[in-house]
Amino acid sequence: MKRILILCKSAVGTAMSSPGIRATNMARVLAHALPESTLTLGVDGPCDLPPQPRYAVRPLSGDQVRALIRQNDVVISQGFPSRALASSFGRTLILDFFTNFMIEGLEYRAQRIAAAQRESWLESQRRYLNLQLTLADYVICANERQRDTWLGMMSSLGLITGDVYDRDPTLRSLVAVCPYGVRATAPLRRHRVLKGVYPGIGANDRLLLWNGGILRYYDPESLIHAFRALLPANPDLKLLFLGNRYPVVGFDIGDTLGKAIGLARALGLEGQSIFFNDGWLPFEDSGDAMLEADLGVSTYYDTLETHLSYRTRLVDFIWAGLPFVCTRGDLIAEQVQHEGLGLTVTERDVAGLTAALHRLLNDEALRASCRAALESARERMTWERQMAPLVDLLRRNAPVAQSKSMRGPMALLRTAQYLNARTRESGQQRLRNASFSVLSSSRLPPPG
Amino acid sequence: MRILVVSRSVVGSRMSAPGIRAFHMAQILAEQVEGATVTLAIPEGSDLTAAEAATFGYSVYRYDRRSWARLIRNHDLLISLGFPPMAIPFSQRRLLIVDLFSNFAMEWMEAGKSQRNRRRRFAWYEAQRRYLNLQLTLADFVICNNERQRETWLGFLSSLGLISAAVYDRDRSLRRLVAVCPHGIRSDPLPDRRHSLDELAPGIGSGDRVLIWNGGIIDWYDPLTAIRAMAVLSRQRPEVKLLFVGSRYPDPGFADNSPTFQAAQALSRELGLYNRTVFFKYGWVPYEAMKSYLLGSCAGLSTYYDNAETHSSYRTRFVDLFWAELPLICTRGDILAEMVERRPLGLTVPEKNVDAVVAAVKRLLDDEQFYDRCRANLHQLKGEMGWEQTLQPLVAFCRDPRPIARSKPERLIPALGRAAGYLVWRVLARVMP
Repeated sequence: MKRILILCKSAVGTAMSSPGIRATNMARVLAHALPESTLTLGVDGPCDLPPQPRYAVRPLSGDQVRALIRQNDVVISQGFPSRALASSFGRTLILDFFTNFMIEGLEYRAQRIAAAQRESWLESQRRYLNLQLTLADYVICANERQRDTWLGMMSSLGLITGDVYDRDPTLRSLVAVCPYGVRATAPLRRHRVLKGVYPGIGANDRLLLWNGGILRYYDPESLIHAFRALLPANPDLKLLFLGNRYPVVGFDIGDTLGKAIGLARALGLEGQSIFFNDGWLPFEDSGDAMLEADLGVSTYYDTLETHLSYRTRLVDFIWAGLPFVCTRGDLIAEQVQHEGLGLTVTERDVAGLTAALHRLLNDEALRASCRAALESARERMTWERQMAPLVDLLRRNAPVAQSKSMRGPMALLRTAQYLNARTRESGQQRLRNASFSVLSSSRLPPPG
Repeated sequence: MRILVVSRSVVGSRMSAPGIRAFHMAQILAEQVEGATVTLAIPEGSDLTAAEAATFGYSVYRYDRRSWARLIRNHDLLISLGFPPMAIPFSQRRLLIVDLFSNFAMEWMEAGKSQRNRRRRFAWYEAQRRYLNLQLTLADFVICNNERQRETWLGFLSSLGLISAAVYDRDRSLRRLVAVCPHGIRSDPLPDRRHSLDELAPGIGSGDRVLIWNGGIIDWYDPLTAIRAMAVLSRQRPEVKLLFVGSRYPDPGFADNSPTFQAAQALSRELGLYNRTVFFKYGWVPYEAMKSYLLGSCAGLSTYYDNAETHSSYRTRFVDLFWAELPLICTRGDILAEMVERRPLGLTVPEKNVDAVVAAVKRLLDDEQFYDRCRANLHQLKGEMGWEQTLQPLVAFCRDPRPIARSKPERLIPALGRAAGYLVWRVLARVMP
């Protein structure tokens, strides 16, 4: 009998982004697969999830997180709260590192933070990642590329010794891949949420759907240009951007959204055939939205962030069986190509994007073959299957990581390095705030 | 610009993969980087002559451990698997490209297994790890053999604090920091005539169908599964033979008879296959002579384990099979095996599975249509994987050497610290009781 705690770092309930969806599904699958264990989901953010039959849901505010960790044997964490570091002692720690936080952080913080502050933020992030990896007994991530980078970091940090390798030469019991999954059943058409309902989108229009936030590293601009080029041949076409607000508190999405709205407005399309849904679609309705859409689309840049990512919005298209067009560069785009789930395009290639969208909207044979391929992909990508390596690690309960006593000195050193980096970061923040108030009181323009 | 390619392995008539890589690198850079003079530094034991090198457009320099200071001072851009700590003071105004063509962190895990003393093994590995951390700190540009290695090095770089926000902003793909330059396929044309192996390997008849294991029997390969499969096949298909070619490496320091090699011999004797169905060509087979063996065989066979070493490896012996347009059977787990399966270029098998090897050999030899399709795919692949194509990211960097790595002054103190750590552990690894 084991007590397992899952720490989720974002909202859970009606408005969920991918970390919340991942954590709730993980809780559900683990509770089912390990009936002899007790499961608790700790939520650091808004939570309106109704009571669950198989697991408890607890808020993580203030001191509660420490108490909660002390009450459990295993902690699965998407980013361990630094205020609770000391309570992790003696617990089995599993890191759920489903994205490369540093690279992602570089992207979303790029625009609004002064350069020096961004470097010091990154430095404290790096120190904290190094520390968490040192404390971890297992790591799980979302794809093979992420796994290779985590293994690289752990090699560099001296966490993979000969003994670790001898215990498991595949190292799959040290770093396992548990991708983002889909619900086992396809969405059911319950009620109309967009066509004939959303102002400006008619019941007989054809709909192109962007299902997710417009974060800094996405490229709605190329899509808007391509969409305009499509309109003469497809006058019944509408484009809807879902989810302009992001349900993670304090998450800086950059100004890509503002620019996209500006461009659509300048082209005279905003509110006519391009729509920006203000607010986040309730999780319950996202299935209906994708069922009503005729084609999914997601465009971004071919950066390192893309290379390592596992875009959950694309997985959602697979769940809904909606053929889609996406930019090449990540592993799902490779899957799209190999399995024929849709079409892929080169980054910033407006002509290529226009052609791909036109083809996938109008070529019925291609659409049918994509739908068949999506169906079989969905069956292979259920949460139950994706979480199987984690279930297996918990059942076997034989960590291959270096013993805690061996890692102790390293953990202490890295804690000190992290605290030092964080002190510098917050020092810089205070300095900036102070100079800002001095400057603004002397009526000079604020810096940056 | 004066470019130096340092080979850490012998170059000339006897070359293993690292030597072959340096040899082609020097040639391609001399051809394609205008205004550059290229020198290839070769270690003791190399027999590449200055006259030969001159025909490829570069010069050669024989170096030893004491030559580093001079080498660095006389060149602007240096390419090597690694630079010694004493290179740090001399290299502040030089560009260093580190060629990490294998995931050494994993390779050393396998290599270290022969070390029985656990503490010494730990210290040795600590020294190697710190050496890698040092190389990545010194590097202005890193090249490697495949995408998985690239992701591993990016992981190293990020944990070492070498990917700053400024670095990322200079190139958000980071391809100008770590690039993939796979081991290429040699460019010499394939002769029309298929050789017969009966002269090269006594005991093999002209009508036999030979599977070739081309390359050393290193400790972390699994020849035993292949030999057991031959035992099954010898009863059903007596004309099918397995030939191990190149049992040892040309560089000093590599054991002549590894335990795995001895186990392979012992098992084939025990099963009564030795020199009847399974043949061994002893000693190192030179780069040129390997051609005849390849051209006399009908397929390649290579079995190993599906572990972390395999996962990020790039098996250069497969590239020789690609040159000879020989379909192959190999274990799953590495990136080339994925390509073999996908294109297809042959068949892949799960690790340690004798029945799967037997079935794959039968399929490859019996299904002529499939065999011909693999050969056609191999022929096409050769057009995409020549050295002049695979080295393009390196050529592009040398033509316009503007590194995006953190500045040299920013990296100096960390580099000195990591060099000190490396030297300490190197000493510890020697004196550890």
